[in-house]
Amino acid sequence: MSGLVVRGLRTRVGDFSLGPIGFELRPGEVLGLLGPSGSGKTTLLRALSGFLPVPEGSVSLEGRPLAALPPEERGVGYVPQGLGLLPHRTVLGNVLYPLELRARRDARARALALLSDLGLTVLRDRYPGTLSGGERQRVAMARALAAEPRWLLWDEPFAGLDLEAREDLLDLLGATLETHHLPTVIVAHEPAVAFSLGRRFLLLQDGQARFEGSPEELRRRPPSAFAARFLGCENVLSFEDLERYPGSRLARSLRSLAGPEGVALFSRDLLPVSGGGPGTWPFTLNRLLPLPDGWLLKGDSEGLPLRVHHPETPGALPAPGTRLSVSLRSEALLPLGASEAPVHAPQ
Amino acid sequence: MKTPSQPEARIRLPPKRPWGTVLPAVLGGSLVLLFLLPLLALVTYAPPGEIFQEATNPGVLASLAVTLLASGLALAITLALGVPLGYLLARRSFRGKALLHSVVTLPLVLPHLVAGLAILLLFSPASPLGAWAVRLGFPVFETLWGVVLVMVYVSASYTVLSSELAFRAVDPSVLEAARSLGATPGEVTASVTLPLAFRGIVAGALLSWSRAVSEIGGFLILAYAVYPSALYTGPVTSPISVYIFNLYQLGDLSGAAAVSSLLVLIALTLFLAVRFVEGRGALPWVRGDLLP
Repeated sequence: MSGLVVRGLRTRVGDFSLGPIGFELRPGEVLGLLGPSGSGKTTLLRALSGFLPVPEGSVSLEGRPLAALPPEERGVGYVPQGLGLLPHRTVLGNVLYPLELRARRDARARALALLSDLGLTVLRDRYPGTLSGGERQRVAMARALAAEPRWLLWDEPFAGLDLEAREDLLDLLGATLETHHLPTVIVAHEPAVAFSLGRRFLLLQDGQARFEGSPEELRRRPPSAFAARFLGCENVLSFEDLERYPGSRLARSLRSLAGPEGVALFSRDLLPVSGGGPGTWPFTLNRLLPLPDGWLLKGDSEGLPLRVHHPETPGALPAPGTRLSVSLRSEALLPLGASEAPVHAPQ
Repeated sequence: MKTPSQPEARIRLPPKRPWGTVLPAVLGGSLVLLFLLPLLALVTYAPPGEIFQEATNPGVLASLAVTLLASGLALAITLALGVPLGYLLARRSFRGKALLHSVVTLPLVLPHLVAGLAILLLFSPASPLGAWAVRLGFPVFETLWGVVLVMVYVSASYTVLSSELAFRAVDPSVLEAARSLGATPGEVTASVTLPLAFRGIVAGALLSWSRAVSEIGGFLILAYAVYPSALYTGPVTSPISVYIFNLYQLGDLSGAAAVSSLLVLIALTLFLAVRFVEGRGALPWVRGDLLP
């Protein structure tokens, strides 16, 4: 296959071991690398770019094995966390750096063209220490592209950026990836960011790949309680949780529909309804938490803890202690740990 | 009293605390006075004419020449050997690193007379190493090489420790980014690590040089007199600190003060020159956000 192929990659940093990890990326394809802090995202990027030994597994680009090559010969545009801009060089000097290393005759013209493409011309004589977070990200991107990489690895490009800078960078990144058509791995800490980047991602937990697939697939069928929580699912109920409340009719009902690891429900798929009736479950409200578009109701259904979304509506809100009813759409139930969860087997 | 027309949420500036400036200024200023007053007493003791006279005195010039030549050589050796050691201490982990650190720091706590004695015992012409050094044309006892050796011994620690700190302060992600952009390890060292650590290395080198020039204890044992040899072909002399000590012992207080003033002037000129060059932005360490 042309593009990036990673098979059964393992590495270690101190006591932390990563892998086996395997995935394939065609040119122009973006893989979002997702997972909480300490899950191994940065470790994987450092192993791929050649800064950590890979004692097991293989990494190849366009059929050429990379694992034995030093970082400078891997043709990778690696942007580490913190960006690694050269503090003693100006913006132009940073973009010139890889071109000077290659003794390119048109170095200056090329660097200026890249600065212009990324809207950095006015900043060319500034030093990195005087730039904003978004500007620094764009300089890092221009510099990575100046090296004419054949693939891109980007560690948390959106960390520490405000919403506007994030959106600008996202647009720019999208346009750049379209133009340069490179296999790209981008680390993201937050699911929302990863979802906006690409159609595929890899979820890491404790150095292990927990899921690989599209955002829709993950949302539809989270492979584990961890994945569901990471997606922002408010109700993640393990089998033990469901068995702990024998008096709860909802728990009994959910038990028959749950997967081996339990069941997950987004609060938005549970709706408070006036009056009881068939297809509704009792809900006692304990606390209200404000949300941007309504309220999160915390309470329980005959003991079973539950979080329910209450849309912003005119009129009085229920007070804590009120007994309500909730309805839930059965297609909204997410069985956890189902065997057909699309985790790619390590190769 | 508050009236309704007064806005409740008037911006309140933090109260000024004059003591936050005055107290450190008084305490620190006292120390500066302690530095300056003795120097003032020194440079005003001998009449200015005598200072100028000493500046042309062949004996003083020979002593200054030996001291400056030896300190220059010592600095070159210190940089060549000390910066790589600082790099290893900052960037590599290995067994015995803590012990190595102690060895590097040891010359700072050792009385320099002891350092001189230790070097003498190792390099005396009667010892195997001393005899070997003589055969190679580097006699140590009472030669320029002895002065250089003592200077390196008592001063190189500052360069090692300062460059270690400077290398430690270089963000590893900058080095990794440079590697992935196509730089070999050697290119990264030349184009990133050294420029970024330059300021710290220079600071350490200045400390080392100052320490070397101000040395006396080791010289009293190993190089009380300096006889002509390969690099120094002038008359028999001694390092400037020993020269001043001799004048003092002979009771020539005025001469000692005049030569000392000369030394103070040289050091002051050098430090001001470095500051000037730094301020003009003529050295790379003031580029970017490296300037505090």
